[in-house]
Amino acid sequence: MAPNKEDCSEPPHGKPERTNSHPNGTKPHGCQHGVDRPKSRGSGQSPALRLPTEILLRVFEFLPILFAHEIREDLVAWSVTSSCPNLMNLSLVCRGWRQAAQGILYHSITLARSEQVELFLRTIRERPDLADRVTSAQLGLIDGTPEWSWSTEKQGNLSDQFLEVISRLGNLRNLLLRALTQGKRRDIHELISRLPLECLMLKFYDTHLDLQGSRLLFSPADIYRTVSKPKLQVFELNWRPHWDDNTDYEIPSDLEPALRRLSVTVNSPPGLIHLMRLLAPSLRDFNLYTEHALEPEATGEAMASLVHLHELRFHSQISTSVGAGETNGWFCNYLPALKKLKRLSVSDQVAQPSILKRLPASLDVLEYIYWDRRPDAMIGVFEEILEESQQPLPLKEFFVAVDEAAYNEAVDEDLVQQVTYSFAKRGVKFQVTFELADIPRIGWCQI
Amino acid sequence: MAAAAPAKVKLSTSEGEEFEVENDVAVRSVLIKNMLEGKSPSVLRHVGESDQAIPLPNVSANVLKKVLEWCEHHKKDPEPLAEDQDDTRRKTTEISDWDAKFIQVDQEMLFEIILAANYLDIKPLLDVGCKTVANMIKGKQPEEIRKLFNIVNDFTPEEEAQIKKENEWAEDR
Repeated sequence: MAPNKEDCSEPPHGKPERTNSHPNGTKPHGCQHGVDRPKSRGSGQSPALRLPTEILLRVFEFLPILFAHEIREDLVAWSVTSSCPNLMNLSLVCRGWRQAAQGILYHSITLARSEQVELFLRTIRERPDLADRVTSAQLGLIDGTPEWSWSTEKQGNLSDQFLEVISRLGNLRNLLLRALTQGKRRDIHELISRLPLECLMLKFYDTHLDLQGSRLLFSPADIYRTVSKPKLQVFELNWRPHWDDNTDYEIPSDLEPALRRLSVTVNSPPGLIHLMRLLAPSLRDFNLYTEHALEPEATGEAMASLVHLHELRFHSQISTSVGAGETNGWFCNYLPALKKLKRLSVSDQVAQPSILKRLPASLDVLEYIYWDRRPDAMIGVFEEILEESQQPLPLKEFFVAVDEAAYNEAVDEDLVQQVTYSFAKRGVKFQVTFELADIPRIGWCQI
Repeated sequence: MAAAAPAKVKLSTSEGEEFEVENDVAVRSVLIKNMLEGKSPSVLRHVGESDQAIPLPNVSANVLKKVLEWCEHHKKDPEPLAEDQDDTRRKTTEISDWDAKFIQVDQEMLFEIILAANYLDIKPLLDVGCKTVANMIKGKQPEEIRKLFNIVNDFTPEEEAQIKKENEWAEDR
């Protein structure tokens, strides 16, 4: 604290100076957003009760995070507030706390069990205002619950109840749908189209539920229309639909998607190429995982059309039982077309170490995923490429993600130091890691 | 046009006590920063050009002293991101060692600091207070929380039963 101009005395550290002038009695004009003046100390009222709802909401918001270690990891990532046991207790403390505690409790919900769904429906039929608090929801069957083994008819009835839940959540912005079975309701697309969704994740996985085409809830056209919802920013397709051979994959002509982030995992479904072409004008971040060798020319050209991409992960893991020796190594031929790419993550079945020679000038961060048993050989190849080529590297950071056990077994630290030094000479920070970086950053929209 | 920010700022508390503090300490408060930059309306526009103290009628001297102690320690921190861009704020409940020691105060002062941080718009300090309260109530039953904060249960038995019924779906099953 600087000394007072009048007496030039230095106050103790961290303590502001006081002067003894009188109040001017003027109310500041900038305080309209503040809270009412707190009652003086010793007024008898519990100081906790002076906190207005807006601050209580802020306090309670931290509780699901404090319970994070007790909640499943994938739920923590999205702060599913209904999984936080404390919030139910807080709503029972007093009338003043009820609204804030229920506000957070209903903020982000997960429903999987039949009884849970019935009880939730009972509440929101009586208290639609609580349904309006829900902005994020994870709904659908979960493997391992009794409902997972129910008959198709019973699962269909439960799925209809899930759809009733959706129909009553008018403010839903993040929706994760797990496995559902076709019941009597046929309005899932209409329901989704009415919601102000910013993020939709279809995590149907590769379940028994889609083995018969009659039970598929989404056709390719449904997916094209869904990703074209005007406010939708994030879409994840974690599902391998078994559409029949007569399926029409053509894109309807009237769609203008604004989607920025796309994740397609579980073996890349048919229709992927169409989806990439449809989203090319708006897509910024893309995560693609496949266990198949994709058709090089058509997929490559669709990939090259994603000229606005900033972040891309292309991870391929093809087992020898699917295609011996097949890879998606065609990717590097199309990589230079991605001229705005900033962060790229690729696995060794998508790109050889020679990818270093094909990087777009815009690229800041490269992650190379190599789970094989001999990471030392691969790291050595990078060193050789640097020795051979004096071509400048656009990169700032280069991560090599390897299996920790294989690394400890096979890699000589001297080699890593040498490679680190070689990259440093080219202005690149090189690092071996055992965990994947968050490329691209895809998650629920914060609300 | 906004006036140049002065090197020092005077702040006037609810009791009329004045504190003179360095500008970079005072501007940890977004409310004061906006006043100094002329973003706040009418009477305070000229505050940066004169010797007039900024009145803070919602903050008492002992609380302001404590808040300014926090501001002094954190005056070199980077400006916090806008809340809608700040994912990390939502994901961590950690409090730095200095902040944890700073916030070891009696309940009355804790809640006054929170209210003052909210009024003065000092989000990082507000979060220190809110995280502290969250840690205090974590895992406690309603009765324990009432006892901790001296709160009277103002629910009727019917209301209590109704809330339990409403939230029954969220019980662990």
